[in-house]
Amino acid sequence: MPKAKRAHSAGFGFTAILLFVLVAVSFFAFTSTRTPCANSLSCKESLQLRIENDQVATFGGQTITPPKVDLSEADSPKKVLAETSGGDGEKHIYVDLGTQTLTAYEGETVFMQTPISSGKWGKTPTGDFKIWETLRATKMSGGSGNDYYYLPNVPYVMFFSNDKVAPGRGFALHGAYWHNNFGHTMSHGCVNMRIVDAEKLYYWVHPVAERNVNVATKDDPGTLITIYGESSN
Amino acid sequence: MANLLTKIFVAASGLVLVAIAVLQVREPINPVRIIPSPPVVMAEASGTVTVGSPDGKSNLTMKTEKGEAQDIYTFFIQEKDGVESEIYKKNVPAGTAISIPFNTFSPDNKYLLLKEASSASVIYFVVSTNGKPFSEDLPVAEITTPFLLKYEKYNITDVTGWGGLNLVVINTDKKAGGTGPSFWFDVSSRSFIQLSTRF
Repeated sequence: MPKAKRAHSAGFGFTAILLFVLVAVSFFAFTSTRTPCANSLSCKESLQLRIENDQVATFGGQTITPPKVDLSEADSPKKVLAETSGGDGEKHIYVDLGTQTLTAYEGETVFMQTPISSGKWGKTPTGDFKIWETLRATKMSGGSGNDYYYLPNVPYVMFFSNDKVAPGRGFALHGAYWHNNFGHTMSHGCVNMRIVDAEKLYYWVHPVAERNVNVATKDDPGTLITIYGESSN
Repeated sequence: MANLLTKIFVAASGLVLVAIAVLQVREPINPVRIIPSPPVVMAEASGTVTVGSPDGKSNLTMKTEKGEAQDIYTFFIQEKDGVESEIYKKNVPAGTAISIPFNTFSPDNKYLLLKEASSASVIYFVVSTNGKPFSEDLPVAEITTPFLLKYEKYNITDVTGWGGLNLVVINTDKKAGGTGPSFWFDVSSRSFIQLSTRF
C-alpha cells in the first residue's frame, strides 16, 4: 500500500474511533440517571438515623413542629415485625404516579391502598426498585428561596434504589407531617405518605424493622417497588 | 481497511441508537388501574362515620340524622386517649350533603376541611377542631363564596387539601375556558394567595 493511502486510512480510522467514542459517551450520559438528589442539602446525611426532637421544621415558608420520635418504640413487643396481610406470595409495592396511589400486595392480596404525594419540585424516578435501607426517622432538607425546606424527624423512611438510581440519591417512601394534600404531587422526588400509612408499611416491608436502622441483606432482601406512570403536574 | 472501519463505525452507531430508543420507550409493567382520586367520606343514611387524622392522633366522627325536610350533621373530635367533644353542628335542607374530604385534617389537626354539596352548588369550608368560631359572627371559614366574589374569571374545580399548616389548596378553571391557576386559602387571615405553580 502506498504511504499516502496508508496515512489516509489511518486518519479516517482515527476519526471513526473518535466519533464512536463521542457517540458512546453521549449514550452513557443520556441514559445514565440524571435525576438529581432527592434532598439537595441533606442527601447524604438523610441516609442516616437522625432524631432531633428539639428542632422546628420549615416548609413553604412556614414553621412547623415535627412529631416527637421515641426510639424505644421499635423495641416495643406490639410491633410485629414484617407483619403479613394474610396473603401468600412475594411482597410488591406499586406506585402509580398518574393516580398518585400506592398499592402494596402480598401475592394477590392487597395489604394497603392509599393516596400518596410524589415529586412536584423534583421528579420521582420510575422503574423497578428494591428497598435497601429503612430508618425510623431522619432529617431531609433542600431547595432554596421560597422552595427551601428543612424537615427534621421525617418518620418511617424506606429508601429505594436500583442500578440507575443509586442509594446515595436518597429517594424514599416516608411519612410526611408538613402537608395533608395526598393524592396530589407535593414532594421533591420522594413518595410522601400519611404517617399512619407509612408506619404500617414500614413494619410490613423488608428489610425487617428489627432496629431503628435496617439494611437489606442477602438473607433479608428489600421489598420490590415498581413506580410507573406520569403525574399530571 | 477504511471500508472495514466505516462498517464497524456504522454498525456500532446503529446499535447505540437502537439501544437509546429501547431504553427510552421501556416502561415497567403496569399492574391494576386503581382509584383515580382520594376517597370522600359521606353518609348515605342516618348514622355515624369516623375518620382518623394522618398522624393517628385524632378521630373525626360525623353523625348524620336524616329527616323529611332537613338533615342534621354533627361533628365530634376525639384526641387519642381523650374524650369525644362536639365541635360543629349544621342543619341542611334534604338533598344537601356534607362530606369529609380525604385530606380533611390540617397537618397540625387544628382545622378541618369540609364539603357541602347540593344540586345547585358545592361549598367548601373550614371549621376549628377546638369547636370555637373564627370570630363572633364567623362560626366557619367559608372558601367558595368569597373566592367567587373576588375572582370572577375563575371557577373552583377542586379543593384538594392542605399545602401547609393553615393553607388550603384550591384548583380552578377559567370561565372563558382552559385551566386556571391554583390558590392558597390562608385560614388564619381568610385571604387568598394566587400561586405560580399548579397543584
